Amino acid sequence: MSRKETISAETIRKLSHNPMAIFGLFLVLLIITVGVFAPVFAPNNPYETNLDISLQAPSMSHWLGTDEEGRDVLSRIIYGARISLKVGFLASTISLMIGSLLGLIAGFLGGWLDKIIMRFTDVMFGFPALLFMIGITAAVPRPGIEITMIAIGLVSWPSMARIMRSQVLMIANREYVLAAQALGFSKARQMFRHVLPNSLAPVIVAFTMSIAGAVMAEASLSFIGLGAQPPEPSWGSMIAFGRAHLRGEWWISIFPGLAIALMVLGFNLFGEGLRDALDPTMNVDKNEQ
Amino acid sequence: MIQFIIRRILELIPVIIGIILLTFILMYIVPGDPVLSMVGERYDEATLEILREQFHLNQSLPTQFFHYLNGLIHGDLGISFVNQQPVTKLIMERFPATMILALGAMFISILLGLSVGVISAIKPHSIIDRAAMLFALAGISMPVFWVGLLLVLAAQSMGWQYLSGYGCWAYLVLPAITLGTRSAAFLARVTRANMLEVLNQDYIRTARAKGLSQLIVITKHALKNTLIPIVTIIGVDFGSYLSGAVLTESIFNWPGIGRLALNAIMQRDFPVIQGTVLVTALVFVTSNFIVDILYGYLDPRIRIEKS
Repeated sequence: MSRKETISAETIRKLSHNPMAIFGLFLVLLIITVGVFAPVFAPNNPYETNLDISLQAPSMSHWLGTDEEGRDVLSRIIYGARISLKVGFLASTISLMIGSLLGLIAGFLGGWLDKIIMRFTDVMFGFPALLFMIGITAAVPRPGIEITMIAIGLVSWPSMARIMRSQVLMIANREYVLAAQALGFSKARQMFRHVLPNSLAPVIVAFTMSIAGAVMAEASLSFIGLGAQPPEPSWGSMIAFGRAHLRGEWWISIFPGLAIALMVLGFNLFGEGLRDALDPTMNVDKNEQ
Repeated sequence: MIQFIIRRILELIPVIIGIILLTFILMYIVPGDPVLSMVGERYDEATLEILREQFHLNQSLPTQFFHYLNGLIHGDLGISFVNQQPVTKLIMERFPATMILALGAMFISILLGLSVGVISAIKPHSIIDRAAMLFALAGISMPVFWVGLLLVLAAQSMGWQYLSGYGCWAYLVLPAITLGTRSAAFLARVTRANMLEVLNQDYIRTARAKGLSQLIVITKHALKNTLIPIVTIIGVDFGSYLSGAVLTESIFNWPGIGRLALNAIMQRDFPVIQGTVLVTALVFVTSNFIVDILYGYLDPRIRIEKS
């Protein structure tokens, strides 16, 4: 069995012994399934308005009630999962690509390039993230999901860069990297073929957790009207629209919030389980306890 | 220690310069003419030209940056396009409200976070511990604006009158709990983890063997040694609260910097956006700097390592 297989098998074994991580994975898979097969699961058309049935309380015909325009809240939540998943994965992928590339270059090449990149990372860390995201989305003439994804990705990469850099610094002196160097491989080949694949574990953990952060950021932006635009069934904007009816028709705001909390909880629990399984120091701590 | 502080100040300078530069550049990447947002729909070319002249917008970018930097040194962040008031004045007026909210949220966070974390660590894997950690997990996963709405709903049903506004302490309760919940949840988890580690140390066993009471062992021996990561979290969170709790301030109509920034963004009031982003970023960086110094003071290993 190769070393790589051993690590994967070990990770899966540790994950399977962690009930919280399993629960997290279950939530994540459930939301992905619901989102992907939204037309199958949604009892109604999420965009279809019918003022005759507006503001109806949860009942057998509308399990989670209807909103001001008579749209089925459950169907909108089911379709809203697609928006959250799309933004969560794509925004995190943008931040993963920017952050890991900059962290890799900074850690492996070092010198002035490292100094410039890390100072820039420090500057980015200095900005209040949400305010920065709001600024980017508000700057464009027409806000929407694509801009939201880009804004979240552009603001969230610094932590990825720091994690990647510290991992690369640890890997760069390993024998197989020194061997690649001695064989005269180019810097790019050493970086992308030898250092990058072996530095990915903590970055994958950070990626999983950043999806939770991106979902929360999208909901926040949509809540203040800068994310998904009506009539898109974004969970954040559903909460915002339900605000006016909070006292009487609480279900319009409360259920989408619950959906956000469950999705964020799922990714966080799974991410933490993955971190515990991949990080040997965590296991030492646990064994000692 | 002085060497450590000087080193950290030297590291801080390029970051502050970077923040000033990036804040300046950001406003020029934004599409559209800023003076157009000042005059609204009715305007003539002559008025636009006068305004461009007044705000140095017809000069080269380096010259504009020089004017901007010169203003900054003199505490001048420009004039609001919307209400023609100095941005520095607008920010200074709102800073006390942001500070009060930050202090209130910190109080909630420390009170809830520390007590829940300590109780969980004393009785690990008990029902209390599991319930507390469930609360902490929920606190981390719930969006802050949703927590705010849940609190409003609960407060309404209990007949609480101070749902949104500013002026007396009662208005602080809901926004402070809203803002402090997430931090409390995080603090509870960190406190528990650190306490569990410390409670297994030899010196705790020694303290117990000496016959000291549980209260003394926890407060005097264990909690003291878990303070370093806790102080860091509290400090960083406090810095982020001071740099504007955009969503909480907007839900509860709290007249702080976060709401000022959000309103400015919605109205495309560029000098106010620039000013609030710059000030909040500087406040955040400075508070992190203070936390770092405190960290080095509390744990000599850190300042030796960083030197």
